[in-house]
Amino acid sequence: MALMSGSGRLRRATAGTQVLLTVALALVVWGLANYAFTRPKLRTSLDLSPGARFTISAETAKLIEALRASGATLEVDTFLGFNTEKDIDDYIRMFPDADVQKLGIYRKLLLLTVSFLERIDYLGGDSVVIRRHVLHQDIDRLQGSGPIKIDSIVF
Amino acid sequence: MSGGRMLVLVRKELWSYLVNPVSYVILFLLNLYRGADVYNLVLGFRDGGDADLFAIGYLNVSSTLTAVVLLPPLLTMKAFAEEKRTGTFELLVTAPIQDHEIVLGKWLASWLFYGLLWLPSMLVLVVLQAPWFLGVGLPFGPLFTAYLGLFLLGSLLLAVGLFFSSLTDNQLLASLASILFGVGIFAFAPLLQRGVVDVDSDFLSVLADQLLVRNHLRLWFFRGLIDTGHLVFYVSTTALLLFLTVRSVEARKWR
Repeated sequence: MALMSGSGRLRRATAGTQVLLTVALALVVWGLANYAFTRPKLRTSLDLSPGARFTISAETAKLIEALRASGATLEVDTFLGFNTEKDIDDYIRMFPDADVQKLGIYRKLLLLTVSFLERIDYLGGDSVVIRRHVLHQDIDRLQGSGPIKIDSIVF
Repeated sequence: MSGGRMLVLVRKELWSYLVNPVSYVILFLLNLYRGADVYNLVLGFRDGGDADLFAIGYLNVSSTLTAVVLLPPLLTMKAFAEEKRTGTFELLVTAPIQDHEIVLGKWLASWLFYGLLWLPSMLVLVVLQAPWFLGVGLPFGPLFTAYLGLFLLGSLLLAVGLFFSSLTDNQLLASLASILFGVGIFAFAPLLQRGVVDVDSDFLSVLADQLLVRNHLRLWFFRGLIDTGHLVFYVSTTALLLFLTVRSVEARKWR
């Protein structure tokens, strides 16, 4: 009886170890697959948006590639009045007298600008740093940066 | 042959969803909740909106994200927990069907039903485009990728739900654990990513980036963009969780 229970324990321990090993192996395979398929060489993206609006030109892509190769860092600070498209929608809802047409154009510009920056950030990797600020919260920093320079775009 | 046995199980499980009144309550609540967001979108569009932005925003609303976190646990909490509680689990695992077929069959059935739950939102799109309503052609690309993203994330969270259901005989515990996982991956993944940045490991940083499912949806799938890195994440993570579920079901043999 004691022998049987001892062999049962051994069987359970062996099976448990096997399960632990296979789970660990599966986790390693998962990690490696995710790492490998996010490398630029194996990674690709498809833009099905109307007019492929989120795809940047080949020239810009080349420029970012050259930036990465040079090891330099491009830092972009954005100061936006509205941070998301939802903020604009909320504003329109709160202030029905607002200029809806103007805000509609702003909404589209915001989406395109933010998407463009996100795209550059994505392609640039560590060579690109995008910092988003809320205009009314970070106004001191904006004023502290002195006169608006040619490389600064303020919406 | 084994595929045939699995299909029988899929049919049985799918049927159990279809005859369960709770499924229809879930369907009703989902569409009621989403209806409020769609109503706001339609109002915004009538105020001079843009068809492209409407398509991008159609699923990019809070109700969608809430639903995608809550639906999978509700659909999968019973999968194994109920079978264990009522004692039918032993019958199931001693039936002439492999453990991986049981897990895959249950997952496939829940995934198909999850798809059915989103079907009315697709029909609403057809109505919205009708000449007597908005009368506008919405771009197919962003809508297709948005649903693709929802189904991929759904498949992952359904696998999570199955895994937790296989660990316990308590449905409530299984659903709570799945919901916490879903909320965690939405809310805490960005914190994890920020923490990993300090560790300065490329490998960990890539994995932390891969966990940002909210960004995948909001910045990629909902905008009409597909990234192969994200596809690999959803497929591999779903496969990993299903594998863990099979191991969990098999565990009864050596307990």
